[in-house]
Amino acid sequence: MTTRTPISLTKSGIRGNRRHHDGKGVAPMIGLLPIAILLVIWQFLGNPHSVFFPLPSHWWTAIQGVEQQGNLWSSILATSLTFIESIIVAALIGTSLGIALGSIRWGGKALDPLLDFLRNLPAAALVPAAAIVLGTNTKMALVIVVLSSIWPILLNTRAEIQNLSPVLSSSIINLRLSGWHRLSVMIGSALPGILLGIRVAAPLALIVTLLAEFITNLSGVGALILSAQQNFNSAEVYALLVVAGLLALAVNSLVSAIEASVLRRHGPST
Amino acid sequence: MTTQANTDGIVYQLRDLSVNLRRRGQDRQILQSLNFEVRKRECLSIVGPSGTGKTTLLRALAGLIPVEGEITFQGQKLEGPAGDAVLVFQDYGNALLRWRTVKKNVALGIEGRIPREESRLRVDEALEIVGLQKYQDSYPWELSGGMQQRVQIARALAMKPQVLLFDEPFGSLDAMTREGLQDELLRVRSLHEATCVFITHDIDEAVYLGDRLMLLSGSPASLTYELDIPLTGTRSQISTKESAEFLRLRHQVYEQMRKAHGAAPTTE
Amino acid sequence: MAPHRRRSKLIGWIAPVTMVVIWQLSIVTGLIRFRYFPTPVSVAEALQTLISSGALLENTAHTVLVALLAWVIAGVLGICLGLVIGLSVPIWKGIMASVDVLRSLPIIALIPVGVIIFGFTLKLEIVIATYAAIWPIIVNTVSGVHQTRTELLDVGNMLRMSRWERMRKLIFPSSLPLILVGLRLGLGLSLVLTVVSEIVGTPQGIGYALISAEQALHPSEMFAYIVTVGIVGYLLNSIFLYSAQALSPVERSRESNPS
Repeated sequence: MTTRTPISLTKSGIRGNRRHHDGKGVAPMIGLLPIAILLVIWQFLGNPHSVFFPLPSHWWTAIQGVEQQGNLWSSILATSLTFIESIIVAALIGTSLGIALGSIRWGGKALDPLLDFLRNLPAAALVPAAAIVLGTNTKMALVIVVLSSIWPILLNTRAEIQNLSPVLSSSIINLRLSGWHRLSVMIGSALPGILLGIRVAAPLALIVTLLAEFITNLSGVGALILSAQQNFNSAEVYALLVVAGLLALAVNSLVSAIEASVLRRHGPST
Repeated sequence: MTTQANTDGIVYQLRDLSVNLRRRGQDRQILQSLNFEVRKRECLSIVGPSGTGKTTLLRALAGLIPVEGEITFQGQKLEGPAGDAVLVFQDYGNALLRWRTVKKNVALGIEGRIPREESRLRVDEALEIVGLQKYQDSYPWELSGGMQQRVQIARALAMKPQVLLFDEPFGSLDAMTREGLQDELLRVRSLHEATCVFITHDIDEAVYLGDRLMLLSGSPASLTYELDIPLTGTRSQISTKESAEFLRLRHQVYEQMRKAHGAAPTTE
Repeated sequence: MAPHRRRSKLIGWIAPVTMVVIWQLSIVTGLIRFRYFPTPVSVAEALQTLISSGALLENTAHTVLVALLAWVIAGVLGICLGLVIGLSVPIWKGIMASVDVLRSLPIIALIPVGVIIFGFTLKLEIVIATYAAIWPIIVNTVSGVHQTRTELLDVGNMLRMSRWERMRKLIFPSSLPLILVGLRLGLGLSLVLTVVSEIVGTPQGIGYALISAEQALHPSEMFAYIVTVGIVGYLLNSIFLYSAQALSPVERSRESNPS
């Protein structure tokens, strides 16, 4: 493309990514101010007897009540365990299926419609089905969570394998790598896709975990939320919303930390 | 200050122009005290190594960035984009609207400002000049790079500007297309009689297209050399570029560029 | 071209059909044994009954209408908010972190808040679905605006376009591809959350029918509704993709990339 006439001083290609606001990544923390201000106004100007909008200080009292009953930490633990187990299983199955499907040439056309249908099945609709077929237990929650969060991992891994650079594929053949060795090269090169998939899947997995607990009353934070709602204990409902939010925050930080530590070895994004 | 007689025949007058730009939170001076003028109907080539601030200079002339010092455009102080000076960007892919057809891209600068019928005529005329009538209903991404750049030129022409500002317009095209477009540009100029400021890092191109040439170098950049290009007659890729005069001028510019740059001598 | 495409469509049917056949056989032969796991044949029969009784149509119409209404509200609000946040750097700085916090709240924990405020009403469904759908629309609109090329803005400056003209002719159309992605994600979420609020309370629509079928121990009927939700989601998504491509030349120019 860039053939040069005899005298030219530099190679200048198309000027690269100049965008409207350069270097905008993470939103600055100051943006939390609106929420903080809202909570402060709520606390000081809100109606202390409101059923719909209980004061933030009442949320705190409510969550302490739950803690004293001894349900809070055990529920958080139960939810976390289901979540962690599911995401590990989803990552393992999703990665292996992704690599397998990505390596098959005809795989795309034959399986796309089915995969498309399955991943668009709302997890919420599957919860009652799983509950009736498998019963209300952690195994059921695990199945549902894996089933709904596996798709981003599977599809991203598959895409990464399909887009393996021709150079790499031919060097795999060239070096006559085989068996485990070959697989490890493939996993290595699919790593960014796998991580992207996990990043998308993790918040989804948490939501579906909570959802499964909520719908089936399986013990966990979701069940706490359900009982708070059924008792019309609105302060507790708001407090548990905050707890769920903190769980989501923890999940995001965990995933980012894992991603950062893995990618540090892997080099900057390919 | 200046009398009418002095500004006659002068389009741009720059006095002690400096430009500072903020990059990653740091102010950096890009251009330092430039003084020059652009004469009516001439084609002024400005050459310099990339990264010297050529584009910044052109954006200043287009009124797109704030400057220190003074730019006078057609006798008036320039304070913002002047409708009479149109910039043709190097990066055609991003300067054209990919969701509009060629015809509608060319109309972008005039639609809603002049009567519809007249706008249609002007678009047709501009497309004819660059030879793209057949492609008026295509989308930019369906055309080759050279054709897309022609669309951009047509868009500028449709506005009937006094001045055309070219920012390395052929910088990302291959050599063949580039030469074709250079001749196209000469032809357009002969039809339109607009004043041109042409920026490039390619000395051949600068000499071939310009009536006058200026060298921009240093950091912050300043004008280090000026040269008239007295190439007479119709220019042609082969005979002009092989003529003794062309080679002499090119040699001269190259020497100056090397001097300014402090680069090691090259066998040429 | 055409026969090739037809063949690849046929290939796409092989996997689902195989799956259904395996499902049927493994239950009939007793390979898998769950008390309430229906065979595909009985699900199809249930589907047939529900269609002829009109219940399926009625419930589906309710859910789809609510989901679409919520999606439209989320779309209008989300695009407007996204444009405002995207266009103004001070507003972006001052509010974006809050947006990130609100959108990462697990929506399921918000449903009880909605229940307390609205009760099990139609309003609850709409509010919850709108809330879920609006975030991807806002976020994608903001990044669409942020990804507008400087070159394009220079063009606007150079042509001395007014603020409104720049918005209408340059920034909005150049953000459109990302806004469409946001709208598509929002559509899916809107449908899912409509179904969820029906499952947990609002006594109408597919979600309610589904949970009622579960409680009445009619697994085939329940699976029939699950299949319906899947088909509705698939159809809405395809219709959206198809119309986006039909309406926008730019969408046609890119490789359709369904992810």
